[in-house]
Amino acid sequence: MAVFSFLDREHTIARPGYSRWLVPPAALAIHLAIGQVYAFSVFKIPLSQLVGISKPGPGDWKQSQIAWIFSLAIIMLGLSAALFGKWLEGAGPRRAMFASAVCFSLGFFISYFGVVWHQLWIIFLGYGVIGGIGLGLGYISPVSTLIRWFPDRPGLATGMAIMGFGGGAMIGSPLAVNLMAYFRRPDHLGVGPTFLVMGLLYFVFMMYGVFTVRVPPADWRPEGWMPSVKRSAMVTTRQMDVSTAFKTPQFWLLWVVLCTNVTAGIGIIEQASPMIQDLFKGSIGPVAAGGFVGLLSLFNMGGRFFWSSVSDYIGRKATYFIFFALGAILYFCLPLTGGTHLNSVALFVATSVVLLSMYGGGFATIPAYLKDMFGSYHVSAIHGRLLTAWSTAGILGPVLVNYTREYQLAHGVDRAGAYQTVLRIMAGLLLVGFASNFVLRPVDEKHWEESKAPTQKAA
Amino acid sequence: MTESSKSSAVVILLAWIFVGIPLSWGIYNTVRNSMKLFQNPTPPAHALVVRSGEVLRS
Repeated sequence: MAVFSFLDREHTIARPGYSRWLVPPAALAIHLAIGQVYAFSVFKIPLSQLVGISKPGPGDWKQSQIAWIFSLAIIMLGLSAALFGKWLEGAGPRRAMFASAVCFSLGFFISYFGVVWHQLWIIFLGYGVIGGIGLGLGYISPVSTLIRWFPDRPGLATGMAIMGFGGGAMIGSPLAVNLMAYFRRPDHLGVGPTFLVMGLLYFVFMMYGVFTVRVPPADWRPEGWMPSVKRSAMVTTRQMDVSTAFKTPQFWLLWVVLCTNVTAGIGIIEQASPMIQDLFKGSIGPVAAGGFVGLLSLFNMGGRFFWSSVSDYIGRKATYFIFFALGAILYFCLPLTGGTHLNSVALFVATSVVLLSMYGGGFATIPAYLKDMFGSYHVSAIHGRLLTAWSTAGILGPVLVNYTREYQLAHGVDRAGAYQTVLRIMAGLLLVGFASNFVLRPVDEKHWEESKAPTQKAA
Repeated sequence: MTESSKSSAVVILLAWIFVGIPLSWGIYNTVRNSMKLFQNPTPPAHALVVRSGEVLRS
């Protein structure tokens, strides 16, 4: 339709003199909005008391049923990123960001009716399925654009955007809590109006990204910057299409790298609050544990920017070696900081925040690693397919943590002791990631010959 | 083609402020929440027991 022609890629090509520093805020507008998904837990209790108001009443949904809303959204994030990545490369970032904004906001609006009519399946469809598609499209939409604007610092560029996803939960949580408090009445909890307002606010905020994002002209490069003649063998100057990249062992080794790093991080996130209380029984209560969780989210976000920026200087492979080697040592030692050994809360907190910074760093550095391996031509689409590793880790992490812990407790291990086994399994997983990163080599010549991407050298 | 400085510095600043304000608000709330870890720590269990006078040595 002509009315939507402003979304076309050719209408987003930057005019001469357009500053590339206007592009990261556009990407951040999308990621700060969709990062709200990690704050969805603030709706869990209100959604479980829509009938009873002050406590769950007859006909109210169980929390285990409500948990599926978030799970569906994350599953759809992975699926849509994998399915629509190739479309995005052709359609351009503006169209993808617009589609993301429409889906994400529509998810809230549809969910409003789910609350009003008290039909959970409507919220599954709204926030879970349609909103989840918005998450996947939004997550990958700015990646290749940023990499093309920042060929000299791809890690820094993607780190800025993916940091926004970590920051989104920090905005979404207090926003939802304040809105629900504002709209609350004696006969309802204010969840419905909160969904409507959040859908509207996020749509407007994401539109800022839609209208300001620009792609660089084909021959653009940063002023004074020349591609280094002395390139690492691990950084290609060629381009590969997503279908060919998907068939290479390098794609699957990076898949394992992301999956193990995320699974291990979930090992801490999943049990952060009970773990600090169990390891320091009597010293740390639920309120302080809540503060610990907040501190973890800050380092999760900061690590995304810090580590991806560092990777521009030391290389992607070396960065992941740090994640896996240091991570394995820290996971192994973490139980030793507890009450029955060193009994140091400060050491426990310090170790945990470093681990969480590397969890976030793993997310933010992977797009630049993909660019190094396969070029920037289809990097968003390749990144989209790689995000299935995240979806897998989202299932694997909690299953490993919860089942191992339950098994240990059922066999007489004390609560503090059960963490030791879980954390050592996480350390072992990181060693698998280390091995995967270690065997990673440049893509074989035969795959470059198969590639349908343009053969020109990367900027 | 190379990057030139035609985009106004004010426009760039405003763009960063637009996304920076909600992010700063989110960080402020999270930092405030994180401070609970360092404030009013629950006394160690043995201290509670000793203070209550029920058990003098634990």
